[in-house]
Formats: sequence, structure tokens, C-alpha cells
Amino acid sequence: MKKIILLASTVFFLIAPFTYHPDTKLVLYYPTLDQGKVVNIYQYLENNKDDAPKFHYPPMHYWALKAEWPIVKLIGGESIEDWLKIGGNIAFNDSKIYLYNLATKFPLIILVLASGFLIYKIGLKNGLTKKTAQKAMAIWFFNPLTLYSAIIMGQNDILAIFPFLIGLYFYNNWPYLAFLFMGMGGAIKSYPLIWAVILGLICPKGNWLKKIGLIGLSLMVYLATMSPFLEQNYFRQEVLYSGLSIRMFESAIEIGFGEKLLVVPALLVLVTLIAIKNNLGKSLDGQMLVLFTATLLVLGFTHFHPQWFLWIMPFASFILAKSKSKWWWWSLLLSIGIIIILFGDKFLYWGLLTPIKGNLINLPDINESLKARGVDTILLNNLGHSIISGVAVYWLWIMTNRKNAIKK
Amino acid sequence: MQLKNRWLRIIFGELLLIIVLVGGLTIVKMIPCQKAVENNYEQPTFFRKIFEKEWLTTFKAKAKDLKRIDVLFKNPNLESRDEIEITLFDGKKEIFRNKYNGHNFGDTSHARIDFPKINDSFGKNFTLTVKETKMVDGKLEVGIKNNEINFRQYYGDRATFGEALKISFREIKNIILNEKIVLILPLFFWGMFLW
Repeated sequence: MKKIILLASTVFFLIAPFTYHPDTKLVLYYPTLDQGKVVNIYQYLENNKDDAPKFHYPPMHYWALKAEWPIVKLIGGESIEDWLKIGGNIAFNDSKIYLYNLATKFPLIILVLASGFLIYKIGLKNGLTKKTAQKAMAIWFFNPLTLYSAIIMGQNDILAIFPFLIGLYFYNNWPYLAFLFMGMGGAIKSYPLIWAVILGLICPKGNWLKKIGLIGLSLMVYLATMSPFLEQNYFRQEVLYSGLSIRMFESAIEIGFGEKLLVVPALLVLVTLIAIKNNLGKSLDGQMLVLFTATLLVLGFTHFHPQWFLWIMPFASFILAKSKSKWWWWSLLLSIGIIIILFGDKFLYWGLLTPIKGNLINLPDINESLKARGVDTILLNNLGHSIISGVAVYWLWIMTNRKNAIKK
Repeated sequence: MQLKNRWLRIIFGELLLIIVLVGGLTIVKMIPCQKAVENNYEQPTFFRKIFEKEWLTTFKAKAKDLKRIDVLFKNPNLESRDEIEITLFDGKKEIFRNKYNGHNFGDTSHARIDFPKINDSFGKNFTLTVKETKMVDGKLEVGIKNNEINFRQYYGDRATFGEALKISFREIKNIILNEKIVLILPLFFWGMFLW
């Protein structure tokens, strides 16, 4: 186990300084505002003119960034604060870019490593063999999605995944503590709340009152961190009703009279009901299957950013560790790869290597280049997306007959 | 395992890691791409009607391998159908001449001028001209900065293996001198792994 963590640390710390994405820099700019004295970031950005975009994440996310900031500053030095003010599209030209990349990603790498350790411990606690638990941890560390999203891009979804995994560790023995942590994950980025609600409903212990209490606890944490800001219109607009929050409600089927069936919520209800019927909450295999399927359905039927696929990995790690048939995994990776290069954002591919060679940003936009050669990139992108949806529906089908899901 | 063998393994292992790193940097640095330079970058941009005069700007190439120039135009509300001509001279030798009309330009867009790469462009003088050949409505405008035509120059950026390797070594040296922690962390964990 130690060897896997050491190897992962080597790989992560070797790759992280040499790769760059503007988002990693942007989010750390917020805690530096007004010499780090800003408490209400939403109000500050509303009342002060600043070139940075508005802050769309919940308040707990901002506090997590504030907690990260001293570590980032310790590694990057005083000058990193000035660097954070430079435009994201040119910041990679700085002579200290390798150091700054390392500094901004350092806390995230520690959390990715700690999450891997938690995956191992969760596996052991739930009766997996040491070998299988180690395999799950190794898959979490070395799969292309974790490497791409957390290490190369430095996306901070791990800030929400880590507390959720702590919750998952306590899920069977200390359910209230578990849902407290899950609520904290949800307060950082809202999507762990979906997992918390599902896990609450399929919880094998206790009656329905207890289940509702557990879900309520997570929601309470979420709402408690939001409550000081809820009255402010700018907060509701920037966070609760932002494009990111309501994106999962956008795929819909018209049923007439201006009404719509919301596809993602409908599928999530279906997943939960099947999980309850099949008692999938009783075992780790079942829990992972449900959470993986639910997350894949959300992504498969939503306009996503490729880096969000990190969300499936804590659960996919367990499934892949025990599954012999992996064709679905390769088709998923292929589709995500297609979507990445067609995304119309050079920082998702060429731009990532700009610290090593800045002029790579002048290479053509792949989507535009393919279009200029007559390729229907919209169709190609839709195909990629459809494959992901297909894989998601396949796992929904697997859920109905769990015996076929994971061959022991 | 004997202590001496263990240390030897670590020393060779660490060397291997540095070689992998230098190799990776070298490969990326060898990827052919292009360098973009905008003339009068920090000056504000104005738009001037093209029919007012023949616009002419002479510039000195800032690097070798000049291969493309993008000239800024504005066709307000996409209404103009003016006809214009762009020419580019390498000294007195004409290397590009083409005619355009308003249809070819967006409300603010660049005209892309590609020509065979000029390997010895560094330090040479080039002359860019924009003139109206037929005034239909007189609305088409050209971007001007500091009284010069606004354009971007693109130079080929392709390092040979030797050049890329040399730059990579220089960067590793710079990291060792100024950003030690960037190398210390992976080397430390790799050493622990090999122990």
C-alpha cells in the first residue's frame, strides 16, 4: 500500500508543475482579494469592480479555498499573489510558472492521495481483500480521469469528493457522522448532495424516519453554510440559479401545455427505486454500483465539462477493481477524449503544456480545424455524448440484475 | 538487500527520473508550432476608413521563419461591400497580393495572409499595404495602432532535437537553482519508493 502511495506521489509531483490550466489559478485569486480580508465574497464582487468572474460556488467552497491559500503561499512565495492577478491566458509565460503550478496544485494532490488512502480503507472495512482494496486505490490514482482532471488540470472537485469519502468510510457504523461529512462535501460543491440523498434512501439500517433524518442532516449542513447569504439576491443569482447549478435540469421532454419531464431527476428517481428494491445499500458493491450509475447518468444527460468525470472515479475504482469486462470503460474514455478535443477550449489540450512551451497556445483549435476540413464536429461531439449516455443506461440495466454487474 | 545495493538503486533510479523529465520536456519543446507577435501591442486600437488613403506600414521581422500575417479589419454591421487589396513586400520583392471585399470580413475580424515561410526573415524589413480598389459604400475600416496598420506576425517555432535538449537542460538547471522544491518532491518520493 505504501509503495502505491509513494509511486502516486512521484507521478503527481512530477506532472503537476509542468501542466497548467487557468481555472486553478483563478479560484485561488478569490481568497487573496482585499489582502485576504474578504468574508462575503459575493457581496465583495457585487460592490467592487474586479475583472474576475463572479464566484459561482457555495460559501463553503470559498472557505476551503481560504484554508488552501496559506499552503499555496508557503510553497509559491510572496510573489505568487502578483502572479494570480495576471490574466489566465498569459500567466503561463511567467519564469516561475513551474513553482506556481506546484503551489496551486499542492493541496489538491494531498487530497487526491488522502482520497486514495480512504478508498483503500473503505474497501478493507467493507470486506474486500487487501489486494482488491489496493487495486481500487491504484485505479483511483493512475486512471486517466484522475490524472487529467486533478493533477494535470488541477480542478478542485476533489475538495468536495474528499469529505464525501470520509462520510462513506463512516456510512455503515456511524451514519450520522457520515452524513455530516457528506453534507460538508455538498456544501463545497452541490453534487455530493445527490449521492447523500441516494445513500440515505438506500441505507440498510433504520426505519424511514431515520433515513429522512440522515438526509436532513446533510441538507442542514448545506443550508446552514448558505443561510447567511440566502437573502441576498446576487447570491441566489450567482450560486443557486447559476448555469452550473441548473444544468442538470436542462435535458427535458416536452409533455405539452408548457410542461416538461426533467430527464436527469427522473432517471435518478429510477436508480434509487431500483436500488431500494434490490437492497443494493447492503453491500459496498451495491452502493458503488448505485452511486456510479447515478453519477454517470447525471453526466451522460447533461452538458458537462470533461474534467467533471473525476466524480465517477471514487466509485468506478471499486467497480473496475472487481470487474473483468472493461469494454464500457474504454468506450467511456474514448468518448471523453473525443469531447475534450472538440470542446473549443485549447486549455483542455494544447494549453495544458504551455508552461513547457508557451507557443503551443498558438496551435489551431482542433474543433475549428476539423470544421475547416469539412468534418461535422457537432455530430462527432453528439456521438461521443451519446456513447456516454449509452454506457450510463447500460449500468442502469445492470443494476436491475446485480448479479451480472460485478463478477467476483 | 544490502545497503550499498539499495543506495546504488536509488542513485540510478533518481538519474532515470531526471532523464525521463528532460526527455519529456525535450519532446514537448520539439512540437512544431508558431509564435505570435502583435505590432504596437500595448497601444489602443482605432478603426479608420480604408478609402481615406493607401495605408502602408513597414516593419522589421522579430524572428526567423515569418510565415503568416493577420491584418485587423472592421465591417460595421457587416454592411460594407468595398473592395480592397492587401500586399506584402519583402524589401522590394512582392510576396503576397490579394483582393478582398466586405463579404470577407466580420464586424471585427482578421484577414489571414499566408505565404511560404521566410527562413531568413529575422531583422529584414517588410512592407504591408492596404488600399481600396473600388469604393462601394466607403464603410470598410482597417485597424490602426500608433498610426500603423494593426496586424499580428506569426513565426514558425520548431526546435531541433539539439536545441530542445539544450533548453530543457537549462530549465532543469534553473529549477535546481531557483525552484528546488519542484524537483525535490518527486525525487524524494521516488527515492522512498525505491528504498
